[in-house]
Amino acid sequence: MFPLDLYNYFEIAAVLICLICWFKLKKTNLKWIIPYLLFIVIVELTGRYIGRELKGPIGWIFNISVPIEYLFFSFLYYINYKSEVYKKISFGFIVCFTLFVLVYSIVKSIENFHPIYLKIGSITMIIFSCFYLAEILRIGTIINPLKIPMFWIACGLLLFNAGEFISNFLMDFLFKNKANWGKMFRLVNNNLIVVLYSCISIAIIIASWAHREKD
Amino acid sequence: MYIYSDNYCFMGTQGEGLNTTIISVTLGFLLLAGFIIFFIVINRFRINRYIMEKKNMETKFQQELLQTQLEIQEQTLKNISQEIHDNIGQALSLAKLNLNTMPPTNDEALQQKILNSKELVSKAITDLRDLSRSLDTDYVQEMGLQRTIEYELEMIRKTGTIETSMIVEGSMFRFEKQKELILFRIVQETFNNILKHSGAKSIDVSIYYEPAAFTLMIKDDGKGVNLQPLDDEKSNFGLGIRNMHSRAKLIGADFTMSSQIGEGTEVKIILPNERSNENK
Repeated sequence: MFPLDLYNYFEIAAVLICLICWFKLKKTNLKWIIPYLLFIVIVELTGRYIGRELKGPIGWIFNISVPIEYLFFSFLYYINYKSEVYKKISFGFIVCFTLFVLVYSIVKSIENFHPIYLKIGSITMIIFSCFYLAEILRIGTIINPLKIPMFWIACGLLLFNAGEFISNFLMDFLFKNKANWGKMFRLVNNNLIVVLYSCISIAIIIASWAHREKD
Repeated sequence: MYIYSDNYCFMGTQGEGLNTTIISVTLGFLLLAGFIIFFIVINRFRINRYIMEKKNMETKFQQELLQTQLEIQEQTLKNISQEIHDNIGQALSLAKLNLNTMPPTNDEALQQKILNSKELVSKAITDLRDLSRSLDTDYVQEMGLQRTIEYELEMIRKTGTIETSMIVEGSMFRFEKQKELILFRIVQETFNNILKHSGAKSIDVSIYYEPAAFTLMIKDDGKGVNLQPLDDEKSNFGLGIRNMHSRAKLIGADFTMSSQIGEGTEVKIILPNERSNENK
């Protein structure tokens, strides 16, 4: 009945919510999320088509999209951090990770998927999310964290990457030694994507509401 | 193949255990992340409460400090008023008596000087009496706000430089003494500012007694003032105006001041009528 997986629908829903809230969203920090979400949906659907319909290799697609995901969220953190130290760390990561990906792709080729991107990215996202949540605690004025869009994105990223942490680190071992692990990995990954994109959708709605109140 | 089967069989028997372990660890990490988020939200709301309480305490402290300053100021003014009445007033009265009881003289110039001195002393006594009254807290509280404003306007009119008028609408009601005193001091400060800075030729006072509120408006036709520097809290400009604002806030009154350069200034004070609000 439903040709796509559940998590695809959540990604598409996030894009639709983004487009609905576009006029309000483009005046906020989250305006960059629109092209990113469109990119993710296109990548996911393309990868699905190539992998399932054409039975072709899809490692190269995720070798491009996974680093872009981590770089995009690092950029979001960079523009939302108040602390100069955190800003420098996130900027440093963006530069270093970009260079690393470029060099690694040239050295190791782009055809087979490189889990090292997931390992570096997921632990970085966990750290950056904790930095952001620590900043929330340090703000000296009265704020409601549930009304801050970036708070929801940070929660989504923390939950997603915490859940994927062990899978990412044991991926090489598990795929080599356990034939069924791919199915289990997809189960964990897909459900966590639902959590992440739900949080992103909530963040977009809150950002557009907040802007409407200001107007 | 054999190795593969062995490996597969090997992992097959322990695979379920590994599966369960990895799922458990994943759930554990998820629970930890969820706990971190929960902890952050709860503590943020706790910090918000603390900041609010701190702000309330600071506001309460500022109000109590202002109240104390006003009490000290009123006590000082009362002391000065008594000193003026008891010491200076008495000395001038004795001086006037001495001048009145001086033996007559044929020297016209001397006679004229004595007459001038008597007039000056009489004027000094009158002026000091007026000053003593306006400083005296008890006088203000006994006569009531409206009468004391009328009195102040009369003293200004006597100077001959400024015309004054007063309109009263509605049936008069009174506030508690402390509020009337503070309102009077605000009015006095406003009149002082007009006299010192505005160059006005007329002062119009309007008092409206409405069931819900008491409204007092003081308008002058002076040169006006630029009120924009008031927005800068660090600026020394308008300390008197800020004080009036703080005093009004202390008694629950709304104080507004509007002015245009060349078009005079208007001060408006609105104080809700608590008795009317209680009856509701």
